[in-house]
Amino acid sequence: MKLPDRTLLFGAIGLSVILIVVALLWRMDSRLAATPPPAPAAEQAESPGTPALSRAPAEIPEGNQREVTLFFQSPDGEELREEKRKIFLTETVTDQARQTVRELIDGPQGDLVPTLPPEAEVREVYLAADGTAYVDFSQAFVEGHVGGSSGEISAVFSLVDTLAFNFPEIKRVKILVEGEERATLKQHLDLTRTFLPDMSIVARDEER
Amino acid sequence: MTTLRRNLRRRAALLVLAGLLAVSPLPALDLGEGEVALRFQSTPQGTRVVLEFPSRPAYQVLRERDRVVLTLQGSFRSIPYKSKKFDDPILERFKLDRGSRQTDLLFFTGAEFGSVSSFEMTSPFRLVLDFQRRGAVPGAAPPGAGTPVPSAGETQPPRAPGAEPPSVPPEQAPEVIPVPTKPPGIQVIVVDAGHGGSETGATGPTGLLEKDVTLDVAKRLQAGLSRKLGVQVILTRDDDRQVSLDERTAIANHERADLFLSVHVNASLAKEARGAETYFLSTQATDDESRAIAALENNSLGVETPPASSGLGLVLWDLAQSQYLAESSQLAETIQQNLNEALRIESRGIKQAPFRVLMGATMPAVLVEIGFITNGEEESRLKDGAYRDRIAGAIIESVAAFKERAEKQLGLR
Repeated sequence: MKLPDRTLLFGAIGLSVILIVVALLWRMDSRLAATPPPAPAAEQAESPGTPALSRAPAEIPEGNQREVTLFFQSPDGEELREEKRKIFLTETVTDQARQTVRELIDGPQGDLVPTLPPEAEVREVYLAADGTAYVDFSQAFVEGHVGGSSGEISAVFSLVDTLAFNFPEIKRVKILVEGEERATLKQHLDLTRTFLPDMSIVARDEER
Repeated sequence: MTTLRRNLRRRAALLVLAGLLAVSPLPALDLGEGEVALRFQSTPQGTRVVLEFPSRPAYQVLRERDRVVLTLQGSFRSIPYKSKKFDDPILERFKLDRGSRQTDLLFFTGAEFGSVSSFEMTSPFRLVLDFQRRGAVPGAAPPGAGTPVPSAGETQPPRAPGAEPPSVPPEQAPEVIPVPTKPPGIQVIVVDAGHGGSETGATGPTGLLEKDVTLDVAKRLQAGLSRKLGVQVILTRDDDRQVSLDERTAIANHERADLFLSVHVNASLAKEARGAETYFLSTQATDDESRAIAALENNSLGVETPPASSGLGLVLWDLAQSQYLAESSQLAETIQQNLNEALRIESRGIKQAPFRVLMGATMPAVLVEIGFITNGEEESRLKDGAYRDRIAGAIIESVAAFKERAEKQLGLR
């Protein structure tokens, strides 16, 4: 072997080690912040890192990133439209899902309109064996929400559609706030149910 | 002096008035001439007779051995039938027996006749007689017919005093048929002003609160609906206070309301979002699908299942509201059309969503978002009383159309 190749190999190994350490620290940090999982999730949920449920992503991107499709609102609030993002190709679906929800909270970069309050935080994402993802938000998810039927529908379905679209393991979504089930977000949608994705409110290609 | 004279004048006026009343003892009945309508409708459960009057007459319904006699005070020359034969084992024929001061309508019953019940409807006043087939559950017979419940004293008109009492077979005393308190059709409407109290709802750019707009529009709806349709309107809140969603639905169910209208003002982070939206509960094809379809087919007014609307097809199926989805969608469509026309704003269409306040309602139920408080232009329009009146007017018109359609389907118009 020539010397430059060996340097490259060591460089790659070094970079991987750094990335793994960063990822581990990140997970530990969020675990410390999170309260114990809620009762329904605790029974069936995949804890982050459970090898049985972790999987290779649907598309293999370059390096350690993958592309996800986020759904935000159109300027008239009538439909959802997509924006692409890159997330880290971490080991578990739940961690990738959590990164995706964070991107959704951070809002669009183009002409689209946000659907979630920017001050909201995703505390944890759990995935049950039946394909139900439990997304646990901070109280700011409710407090910062604009209200209205339209506002609630765009918030809930941008989340549900985004998760189901990017992660085939996620069939439906249940929203929790501070680890608890809530009756409604702001007096409209029933949050005690699990939501199936509704792609009928997503703009088709020719309408974009 | 002047006081005394005024008193005398007032007393004289009262005397004249009393005299007039004495001369024409039944002034209301004379108004009815030329305007009484009589209709018959045959249903699988029996035969329904509807009499429409310009105003409520004094009447009594008596059941005799082989006939039911409706006695009206007054001559009612305008009743369009003298006699009529039916090809019907429940109701064989009808005969009019007109006296000078009272009119008997004789309904001769057939071999399969079981029972008769009656109820009243208003705007216009209608008296409905349901002749039920033997073995049919009384009251359950024609769709939506109320169970005959003995009415309170004040709703029962006085027995027409009078000539030629109907011949009574000695073995059976005539049975007075009471008027039930809850007739079918749209009689009681619950209007729900969204949010309230510390739960303010959405806020406009200049600080207009959703809870204040919904309360004011709900009150306008209450006034207009009771004035124009003669229906009873109950508000889930009539002041600024917090009422839980489940309690709002419970009020409607407890009052046995025929319609539930929830009034809201929309909000969106999309500042350009504008226009009204009307929602009814969404359903989802799940394991419950067959039950759902059965419920739609058996819905109370017998209307057909509407074509699938655009919108959100969601997870859960709520059985309470599921029986009324066809009617709820019909009402939502009418309201949305009228709101778009009245406000000249683009259609955002009717939509379906799993709204908690609609889930448990045991009657047709819709949620109307009358505009976007987060849109600066709509917020300022929503502050205007005339604009609120236009919104209320469009909804009232829609309810009137829905009510008329429902009553036609029940054979009541």
